[in-house]
Amino acid sequence: MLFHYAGFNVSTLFSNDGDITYIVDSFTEVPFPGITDFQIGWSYFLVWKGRQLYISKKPEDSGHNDTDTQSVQPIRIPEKSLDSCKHAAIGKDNVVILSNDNEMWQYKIYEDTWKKVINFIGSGGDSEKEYAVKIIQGGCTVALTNLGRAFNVPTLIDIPKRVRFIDVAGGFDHTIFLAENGDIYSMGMGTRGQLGHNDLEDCDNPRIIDALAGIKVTQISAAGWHTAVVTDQGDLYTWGWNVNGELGLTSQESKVIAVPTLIDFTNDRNESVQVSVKKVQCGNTFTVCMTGTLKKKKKR
Amino acid sequence: MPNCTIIANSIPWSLLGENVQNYIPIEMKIHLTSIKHNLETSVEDKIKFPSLKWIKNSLIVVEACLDKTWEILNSGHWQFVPVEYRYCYTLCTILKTVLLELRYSNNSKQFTENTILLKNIIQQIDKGILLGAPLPNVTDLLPKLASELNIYVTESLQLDLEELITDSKNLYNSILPGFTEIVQYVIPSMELFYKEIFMPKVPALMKDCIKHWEALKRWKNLKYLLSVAGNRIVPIEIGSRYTDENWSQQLLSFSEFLQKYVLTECDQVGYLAQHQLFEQIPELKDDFTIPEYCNFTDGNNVEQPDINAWFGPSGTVSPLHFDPKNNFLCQVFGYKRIILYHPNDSSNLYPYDTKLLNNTAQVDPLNPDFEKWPNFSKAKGFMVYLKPGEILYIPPKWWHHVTSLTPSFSISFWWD
Repeated sequence: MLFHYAGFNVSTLFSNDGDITYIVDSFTEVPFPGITDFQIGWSYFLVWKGRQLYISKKPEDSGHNDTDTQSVQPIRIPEKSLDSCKHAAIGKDNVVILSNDNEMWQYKIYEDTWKKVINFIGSGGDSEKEYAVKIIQGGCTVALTNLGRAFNVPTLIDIPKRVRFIDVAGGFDHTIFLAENGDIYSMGMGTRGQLGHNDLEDCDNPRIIDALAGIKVTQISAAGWHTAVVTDQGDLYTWGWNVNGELGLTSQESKVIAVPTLIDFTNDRNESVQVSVKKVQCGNTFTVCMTGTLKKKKKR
Repeated sequence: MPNCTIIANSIPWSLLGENVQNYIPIEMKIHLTSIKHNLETSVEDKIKFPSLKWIKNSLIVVEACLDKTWEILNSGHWQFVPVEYRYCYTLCTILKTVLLELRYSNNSKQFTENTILLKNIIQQIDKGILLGAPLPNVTDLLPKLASELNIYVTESLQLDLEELITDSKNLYNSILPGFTEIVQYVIPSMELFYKEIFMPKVPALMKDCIKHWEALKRWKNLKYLLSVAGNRIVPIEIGSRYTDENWSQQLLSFSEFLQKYVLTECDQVGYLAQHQLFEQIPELKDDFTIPEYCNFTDGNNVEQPDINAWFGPSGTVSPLHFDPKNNFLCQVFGYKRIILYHPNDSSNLYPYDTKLLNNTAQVDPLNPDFEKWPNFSKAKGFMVYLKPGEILYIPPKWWHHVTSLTPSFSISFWWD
């Protein structure tokens, strides 16, 4: 598989005579062989080769232009082999990495230092082994475990009894959870409507989003100050900050929509069309979704 | 570097360098250090001029850092934003203005003649002042820079402005039924103020105390305010009350604000409220002094009072709320009506129970709804009219509701 990149670049991945190319103005192949996945941080890239992890970052400079550093360097967890990474969460100046053997490590990318995150999970009470399966780093670091519990690292998040979370997503200052039964919970800052509770209040613990009660959500995404989810019916709901039009709600004048809102897809003649949404992904100021083909709705 | 670079030459580069080393978040520092370094060398070495390509690339990087920092400043609660990111916003602002100036003077044009660019740069600086934090060892850099540049922008004054306020001393005296007048003093001595007002925490109207302020004569002449502040960007609250659904905030230039919201009839109210205008435009500080009474403190606090400007048309309303500190509301021009309640009346005023508004009452003392808020009838309201040259002392936690009856400019001093 080949990877191509276009746009603003602050890593050393693309350069010209030792100078960083700040704008990659056409899709350019990422000059690194064997890539299997690619993660984008604000000022660095993570490149995956199977279970090997590499980073491309601008080195700390003292004001002199010596760029003798390699553009892509391996990230090797201390005392482990290179191919022992299974998940990485991008942070501002650090990456949190889950190893094959379920350890959690924090790598300060500019200081080039490692810290093993002490095991905060402990045992969930029953005999089944519990470990983190997904981590996100927004305003804080949130870890989801294989048993459906979540931690605002290192503190256990207070979750209603018998609720198991199976996915987590987060923006600048909010976090949303997908429960096993398709319910959606949110917590964090609410001032931009990002929690979907039909108010602008903050929430210290995960609170179910009532507006989606009875609707089975299958996939979630969040970024910036907004959230988007897909249901088992192929419907798309968005809510939160709409200053850049990121909610995709043409008829809404408001810059803040604090309640999940069903997206009505239209064709180029502005007619409503039937669409099955497969997947959604939020960026900080935009939203992308993947759908089946657009079909005109039958008139009754 | 040519001499026409006003901004680049007025930056204390080595002090700035210390700030970059010590206070800027690492992921920003790696991008900004070399830009700062190259600019510094160019200024010292007067011949070497950075290439246009380098200037353009550096602008891209600085803009990206500004955007990212802006996101961080706007995430989570403002009071918990790490101050390093506010320093970073200030640093990016400084670098951006230097680069903008360089990009222009690269064609050896006199940059001060380009009014549009100048205004653009001043606006950028104001955003830096509003969102950033003064860098620890060059605290007044941005305000000074903006004041310096402002001199070159000659605002074409098409407004025919005489004095904004017609004198109407006797119009505003009648205390509405059900309200009680508060005590009045004419230039109370320090001792009297301490014994009868400050210690017992009694709201009081103090006359003639600030009669000598230059601001009283100068500021009602809008030409003066425009020459000092016309191009400067200020935050404006839109909507009659901050508790209203459609209330919002906008950044406007002072002259836009004047023309749109103060000098013309407008169906929306615009209010320059609770803004630290005098940190942003220090020249205005020369026109008034901190009242000596502010030297009395409740603890052993020695910090300077927080000074805020309140400027707007007739009809601005601050809904009934309280502040935690001692407050001197000083009237520069125009007239205001203030309604006050004792902190013990809080439960009769029905404060909102949300975090954001728990210092604000749900009752409107001018349109009381006794069915909805029955206990409000038990509250004892005080009323006072504030005229130019007068100070209103509002003790900590006293509820107050403020309406401007004419175009009005007030300065408030908050202290512990």
